[in-house]
Amino acid sequence: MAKEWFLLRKYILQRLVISVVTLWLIVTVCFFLLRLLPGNPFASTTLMTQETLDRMMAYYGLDQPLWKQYLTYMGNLLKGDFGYSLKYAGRSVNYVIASTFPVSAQLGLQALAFGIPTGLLLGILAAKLRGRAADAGINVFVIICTAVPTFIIAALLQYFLALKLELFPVAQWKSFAYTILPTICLSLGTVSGYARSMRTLMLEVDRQDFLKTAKAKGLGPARIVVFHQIRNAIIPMITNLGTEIAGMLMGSYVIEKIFSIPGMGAYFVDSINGLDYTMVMGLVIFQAVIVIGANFVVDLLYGVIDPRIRVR
Amino acid sequence: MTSKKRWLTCAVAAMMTLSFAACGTYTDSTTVSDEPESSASETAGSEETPDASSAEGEEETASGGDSFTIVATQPNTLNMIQSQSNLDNYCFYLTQEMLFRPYDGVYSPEVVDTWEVDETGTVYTYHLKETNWSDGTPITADDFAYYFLAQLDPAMGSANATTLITTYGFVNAEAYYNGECDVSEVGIKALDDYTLQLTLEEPKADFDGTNITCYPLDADFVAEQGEALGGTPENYMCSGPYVLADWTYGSSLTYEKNDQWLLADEQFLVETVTMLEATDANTSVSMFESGEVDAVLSVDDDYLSILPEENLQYFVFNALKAVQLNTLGQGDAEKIALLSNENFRFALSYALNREAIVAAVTPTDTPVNRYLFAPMTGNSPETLFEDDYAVESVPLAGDAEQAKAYLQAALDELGYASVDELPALSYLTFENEAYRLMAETLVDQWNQVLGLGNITIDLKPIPDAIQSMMSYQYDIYYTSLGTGAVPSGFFNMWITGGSANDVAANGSNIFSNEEFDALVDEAQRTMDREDRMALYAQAEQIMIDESPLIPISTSGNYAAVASYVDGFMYNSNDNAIELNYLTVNK
Repeated sequence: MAKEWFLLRKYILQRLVISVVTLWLIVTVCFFLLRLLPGNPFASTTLMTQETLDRMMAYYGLDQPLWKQYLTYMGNLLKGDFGYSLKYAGRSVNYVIASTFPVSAQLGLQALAFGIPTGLLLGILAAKLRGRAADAGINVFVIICTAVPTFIIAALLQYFLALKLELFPVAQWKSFAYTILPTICLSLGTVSGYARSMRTLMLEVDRQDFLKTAKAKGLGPARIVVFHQIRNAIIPMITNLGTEIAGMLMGSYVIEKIFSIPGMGAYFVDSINGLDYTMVMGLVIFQAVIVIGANFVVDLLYGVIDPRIRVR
Repeated sequence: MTSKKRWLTCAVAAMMTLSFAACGTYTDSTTVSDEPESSASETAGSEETPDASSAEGEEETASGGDSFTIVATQPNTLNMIQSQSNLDNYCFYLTQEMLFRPYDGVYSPEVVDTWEVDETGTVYTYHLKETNWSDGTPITADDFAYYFLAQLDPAMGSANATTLITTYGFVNAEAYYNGECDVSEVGIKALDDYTLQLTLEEPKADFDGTNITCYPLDADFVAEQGEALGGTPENYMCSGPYVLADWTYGSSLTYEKNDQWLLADEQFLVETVTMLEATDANTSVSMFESGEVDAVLSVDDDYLSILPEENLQYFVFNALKAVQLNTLGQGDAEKIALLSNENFRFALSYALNREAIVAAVTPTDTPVNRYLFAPMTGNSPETLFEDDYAVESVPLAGDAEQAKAYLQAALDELGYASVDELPALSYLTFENEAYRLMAETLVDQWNQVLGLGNITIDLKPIPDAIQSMMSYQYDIYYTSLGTGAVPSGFFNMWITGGSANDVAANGSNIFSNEEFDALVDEAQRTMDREDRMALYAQAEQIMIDESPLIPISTSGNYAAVASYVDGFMYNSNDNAIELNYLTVNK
């Protein structure tokens, strides 16, 4: 037991070191790549004279040598300061993240909380009812969810459920009622993905010898499905969970735009389009931390779910 | 089997429960318009008992309604020094006092009590009323002076100094901006707490002493906020009709009526104004149809036919969309000759059927064949320049035969046997759907009418495209330019060395005409309005004949406004959503 704890601590430490190095690489590459892009953060459809532009560049220190800008940025970063947006004067990147991340995270978590169980359930049902009408129905549903773009489904849901039936508000983010339609829309990809994978994995597990053993031991069908079939089928699906959680937490540009949700998604797109260096950097670093963290947690979860994968 | 069925039944039940747990009748109390009980009953109550209301006599105050919700694009920043966007001004207009407040293009005194100008026409002295910030502290003349001085201060990172210098020409403003003199030497001074004096280098005919956008700005507050200035409601001081109560990035701004405001009993009577972020076009219209919002500032072209005509209001912007030819030809002698050739430019212009193009590509725009159009006023504030002064220009529907004749003349002059010999030209534009579609349409028309197959479209992201334009790396560029509220605003960009003309500020003008420069200069010093406008009209005709700027359209916009809303106003000359006399009778 003591040896296991020692190995676990060593594993965590190794992962932390790798994570820090990865993060530094991401920051550095991203910093220099951004500066290589043509244009500048102050170019907009409003005409600005070259003299004014030069003054703006100097005011924000963008006329300094690149290495100097990099050192300044890294110095601020070590203090946890992402700086202020170059596009939206007065908005600190830290504040933008602090105010928009909870919204995107809530939406993402709701979508996962709804999407994963629903997807798993549909996958299990389709596998257990293989070849029947229900299986075909679930397959059609999954194909629709995969093939039809989210913005079309969102528009249809808005039209029928909000505008015609008045069950939900059309858009905005004020109370739980406002979150339902975007949650459903955002979760459809998860539902279809998990349903498809779970069905396949359940069918694969169904052919394994240990299930025959379980049946021979006289276990009930429900117990076999829950404790043997599902548990074994679910392990491969955990692999992508970290990336998926991170992706969902960081917001969806399309869903947030359609439902007028004050999340992070729009900032990603707008800041890249507008070459808002500080905003892009802050968001990328934050996302990298989330992705690295989520994958780390998932790796630890492996050991909990499957004893064969524990650190030795 | 029975057990299996029971398990399946449980699974289906669980899924159904998950799916519909949150559903039910939508009864959220925070929604604006899905609460007919409260708002309707309040309205009904006030309407049913007019006698009772009036019985309260003098104590009754006018009411514009409880709330007004509009979908409009959010400001970029509320930092009044660094702001460059009209969108920011929507907020400033609602939340700040003004020396003179414009409404539908006409300025009226607000904080200014009386004012006088000296006999030289250069010294304007304003005597101010006593008024307060929303926290009750007094606003002084220093605060109004600082609004301008901060924008001229080279240490404050404002991009507006050049415009201020050009528009008003305050004494030593340029020297101060260049770090060549002290702030005390600038012709913007607070003589005492309630007297502001503005001194100009020379009389500016287009400035009548009232048409000036000036808000108060507290220097101590600015210093205290540092980089955070204007980022959140806490980092922003209000003094105007409304107080900014909440700003949720990407979602909404909430304004609460400021009862401390000077004219609180007369204007801006609606208690709460909410501006929701303009998001998806379909969502905006759906919210309007469902009654969640009272207005949508800008309705997408595709949805105009869905909404009832009586709910649509058209506003024209003071913005010109035009094709710009790079007469510097990127240093290529052949291109310089071609793009500077008057007949070739006329050929391109006459080949375009602006009416058809605008109807097909940007239906909310208005096709134009000149530079000074509505809402630019003319010989009086009540008349339009375009009505007072006609110009000789290309027909809006174009003229294909004339275009071919111009092209042939150009080919003859330049020594080309056919269009196939013309050098390849690149049409630089933004990489988005609207600009791409316009580019494809224009290039197609030039190809169909003139047989020009030498023009290729160069799509670039906005920052990249603008950088290319500013370094003259284009042959043809589709530009959008604000035309300003007075002719000098636009023409000053096109005089030799003007900001749109010599974008690199290195003497590389794409248009230079001494007569035009002299006319613009003379007009700006001609105090008689009609004489001044006549000079501007001559300058405009020269630009039409000589400049490499081919006008296509002026931006327009349809707003959707609910039938129970009265007095909704937008004016692009004022850069403001003007809710001064708005009433909501839900």
